[in-house]
Amino acid sequence: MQGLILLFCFQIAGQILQSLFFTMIPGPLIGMLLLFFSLNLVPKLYKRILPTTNIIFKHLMLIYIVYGAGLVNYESLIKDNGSNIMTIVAIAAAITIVLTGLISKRIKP
Amino acid sequence: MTSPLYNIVGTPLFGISLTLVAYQASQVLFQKSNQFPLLNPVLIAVTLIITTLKLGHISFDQYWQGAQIFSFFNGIVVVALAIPLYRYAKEIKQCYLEILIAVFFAALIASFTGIILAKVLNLDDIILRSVAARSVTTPLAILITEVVHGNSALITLFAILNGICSSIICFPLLKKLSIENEAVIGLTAGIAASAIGTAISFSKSYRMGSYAALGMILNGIFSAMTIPVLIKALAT
Repeated sequence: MQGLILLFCFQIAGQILQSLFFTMIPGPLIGMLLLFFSLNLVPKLYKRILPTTNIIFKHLMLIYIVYGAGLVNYESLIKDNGSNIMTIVAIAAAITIVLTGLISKRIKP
Repeated sequence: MTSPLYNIVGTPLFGISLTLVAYQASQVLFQKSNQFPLLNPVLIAVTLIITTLKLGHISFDQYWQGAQIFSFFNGIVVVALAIPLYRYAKEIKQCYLEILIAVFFAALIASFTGIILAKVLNLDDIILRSVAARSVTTPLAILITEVVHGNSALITLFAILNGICSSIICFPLLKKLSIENEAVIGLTAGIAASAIGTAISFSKSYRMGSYAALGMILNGIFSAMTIPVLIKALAT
């Protein structure tokens, strides 16, 4: 529970900062960066939060199931564009993988 | 319509229970099929839920009354990504600058190719806005897509399709390019196929998995900064 409260605090801090300064960057992302820097300053935070994140990550799919169910409102869009969508996903994936592989080839270790 | 079941449909209990049952069923099916990629649990659970809503003539809003509770936790998941980021960044002590530059350009390429292809094929504006973040890890992809006025259901679909497709073609393609460096393979798999690519990389080696996790999260951070700019420049 302690971990969950800490995570909520960072999210709230992120949301507040977003509404004050960065309207284009999602609040939770700012919260994540705040937590990342806090972890580097206070390493013992890691052990406090880790058990909570393990539980959250284990059941991640629950969240995407409910978002995905929203597709019920886009039935005709998907029916009309199904093949186009698959084409985009496949071609863009191939281009991204090849170029990313070539770009990061220079990393040594 | 007077059946007692229809009284429950009007309450949050319905959306929550249906989601949990569909989740459990999809997990069982996925494990029984030895994790066959096309039986992606989210895809299966979504199909089950949509079928139930259609057969029962239940509106999405009625389902959402309960289901939105789960969507609320998406923000917390994004915050929690700081934990793996911290852990795997610590494992990788060298080449920070090279990694950051590589991921930055990879993030640009990933979103740019999606947007441009949607434009070339003359697809709906809502698809163009929802396709850019498809290779970003899903919790962040949803937030980014909301910022650029895309649709959260569509980006979830794109992210799943991309995860399946990229994770299947990633490793053979890199082999063809004769890339054998575990760091490069992991980073590319994490960027292109986010969670699925990271899981496969960890199954190959811990080091490859660490790079994949790092690539996945950094890709999300850079994409959150670049996609709004790209969409502004390219969407009509």
